[in-house]
Amino acid sequence: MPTNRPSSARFALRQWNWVVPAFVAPAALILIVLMALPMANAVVLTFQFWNGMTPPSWIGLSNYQTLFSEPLFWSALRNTAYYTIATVVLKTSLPLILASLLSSGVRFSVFFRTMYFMPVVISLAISGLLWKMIYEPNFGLLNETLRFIGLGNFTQIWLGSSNTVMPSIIAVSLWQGLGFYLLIFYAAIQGVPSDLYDAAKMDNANALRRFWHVTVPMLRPVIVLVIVLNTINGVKVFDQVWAMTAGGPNHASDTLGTYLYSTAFGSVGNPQFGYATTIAMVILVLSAVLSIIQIRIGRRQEVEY
Amino acid sequence: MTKITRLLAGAALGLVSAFLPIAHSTAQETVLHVMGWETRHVPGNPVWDKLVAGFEAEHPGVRVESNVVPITQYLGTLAAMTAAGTLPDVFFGHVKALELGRAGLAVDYTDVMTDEFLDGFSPNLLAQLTTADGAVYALPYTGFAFGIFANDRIMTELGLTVPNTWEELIEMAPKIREAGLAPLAWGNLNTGTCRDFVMPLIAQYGGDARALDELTASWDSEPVIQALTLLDRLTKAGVFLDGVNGLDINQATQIAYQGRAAMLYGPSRNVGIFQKEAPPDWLENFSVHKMPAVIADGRHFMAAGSGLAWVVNDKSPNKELALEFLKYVFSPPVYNDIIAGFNGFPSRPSAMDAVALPQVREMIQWATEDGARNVLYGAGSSDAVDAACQAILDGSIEPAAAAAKMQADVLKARGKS
Repeated sequence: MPTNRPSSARFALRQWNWVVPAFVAPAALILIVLMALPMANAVVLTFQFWNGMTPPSWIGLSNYQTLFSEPLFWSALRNTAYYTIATVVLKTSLPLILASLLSSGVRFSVFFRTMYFMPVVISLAISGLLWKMIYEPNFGLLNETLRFIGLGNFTQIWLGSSNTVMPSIIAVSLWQGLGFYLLIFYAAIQGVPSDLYDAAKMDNANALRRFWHVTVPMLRPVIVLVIVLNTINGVKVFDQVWAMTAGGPNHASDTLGTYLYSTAFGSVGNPQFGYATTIAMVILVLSAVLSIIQIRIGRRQEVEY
Repeated sequence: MTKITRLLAGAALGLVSAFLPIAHSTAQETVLHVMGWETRHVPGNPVWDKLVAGFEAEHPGVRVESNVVPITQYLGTLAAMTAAGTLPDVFFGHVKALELGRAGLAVDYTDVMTDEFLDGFSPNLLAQLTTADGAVYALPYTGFAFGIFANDRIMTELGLTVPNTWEELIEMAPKIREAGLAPLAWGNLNTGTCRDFVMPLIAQYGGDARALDELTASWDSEPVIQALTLLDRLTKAGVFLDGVNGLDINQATQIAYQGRAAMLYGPSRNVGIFQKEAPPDWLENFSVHKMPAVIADGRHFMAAGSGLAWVVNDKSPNKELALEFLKYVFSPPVYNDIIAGFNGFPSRPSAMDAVALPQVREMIQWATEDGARNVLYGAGSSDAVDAACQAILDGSIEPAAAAAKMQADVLKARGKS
């Protein structure tokens, strides 16, 4: 007997048609308004000259030409690359090694994990200010300690010298971020089947070989994730550098982020929003390209067990 | 009507009812938006409360709302507001005051204020805010002068007197260093303090800061090279703190407070700050002195100007009210209260009697005689001087090359603008 009621499948399809978009729409709208539209506007702005005081004027590729011929940009790019490579290597390898050690049954593991994580909860700006006081070359804690223990010859003008400023900032970044990545690796290591370690032991593999041939391969996806996160954070670094040195002395610690900020909001001539946005585009492209490359490399070999 | 629909309708009605009183009060009240970095311009500060209450009493229906933005974030905030078209009604213009005026965003006070009112300001301070064609886009709120704050206890213990010339300072530096102290403490991180140090040196060698700022004189001229050469000599003689480029003013001041520096370079507002936070040893032993001169009977030019200068937004719907506010602020009884309450350096000589601290009075007198312009308003000027200063301080450039770079950097910045 024919029925006037729609089939349950058609009814379900009609329900799906309006319910899903209705629930997705608010979040999508927010993302479009607060991210997509500003990003599109930013891309347009890179082709304009705008000092914020007069209407923007179209200048084509001039901002990009100026950017790539500006020595300060290349200096900032070099510093950013230096910072990124150093922090990626240090903030990936050291937390992994420490996590592996803490997972091996060492005593007071909880205490050590807590101690390593504590700097993570301090804001980047505050940690920058704190270390600025420690690094103070005349009477700061670091140099005073070195003098006290007889290592006065090793004192440096940490943040005031172009030779030591970047390593000093990288050290602070490592101190701040190590605990976070250590916890990520520690949690991941708990998921590695113990059978694999047992099998390796039976094959007379020592701790180092077990780490290299079991832990590292099994943690490959997590390692790739950590590398990607560190890369993105490195390319867009700003807070700590600005709090500690504002890119000084004499642009020696200027990164793309601080160069962007001082160009947009500093006392350099008038604000150059178009030019500053061009710098932001470089940061975006660098972050995206490096992340894609790293993810693709990471996917090449997948370990199954 | 379903239950949910009734609930939604009720909530909407409730929201509208909640906002009605606000909309009703906004319609009857005019809010005058004031912005600056003066941390005492906040409700709860008795001086500010009295000022606001007095103005609001004279202007029923007007409410003054103060937005205090930290100095370290001020330029960024100002730039963002300018770009967004949301500048407050009246605000401190910082180094952008004249640029805002040229862009038509700041009122030219010569068009709206009487000559009598403008003549009431210290000529030296007002001149620094006056463009070459005579426009005045900012009114100096308070002034400042830089000087040497000496720790008399340390100087006496070392058998030294505060130097009258730069050569004397260079000669006494080794003795102070041997005592484990820094001769002259100041910090150059993110504050442009070196600009405050170098611009008066240029004046001491016969240079004209205004001409340099406006590029009617060249930054690689002889007075600039001589000033940078002196800065280089002072650096190499160990007069300054080690790593001065990596220290900010607060760190340098703390070093002085702790008795680890013989002298401190800083502005006149420090005198009021010392009263609130300096330890007893510093408070009992500090004295204020002029900047050293190039020669024994030379001019002791020192940085003097007005960093706090009021700008009225020319596009503001409350422009007339903002001008009334400034007339009120600078009216004698009100302004005298501000100077007395803030331990300020008056920009109007008529308020001199309100200055309570004798050291500030003394510095005002010096500034009247030997004040030198240090705030630069031209595009690229500040950054060019800052960069050259930092390079001299860390020994990475020779003075002549630094001067040439300053000229090149300013020209480049003006070409970009």
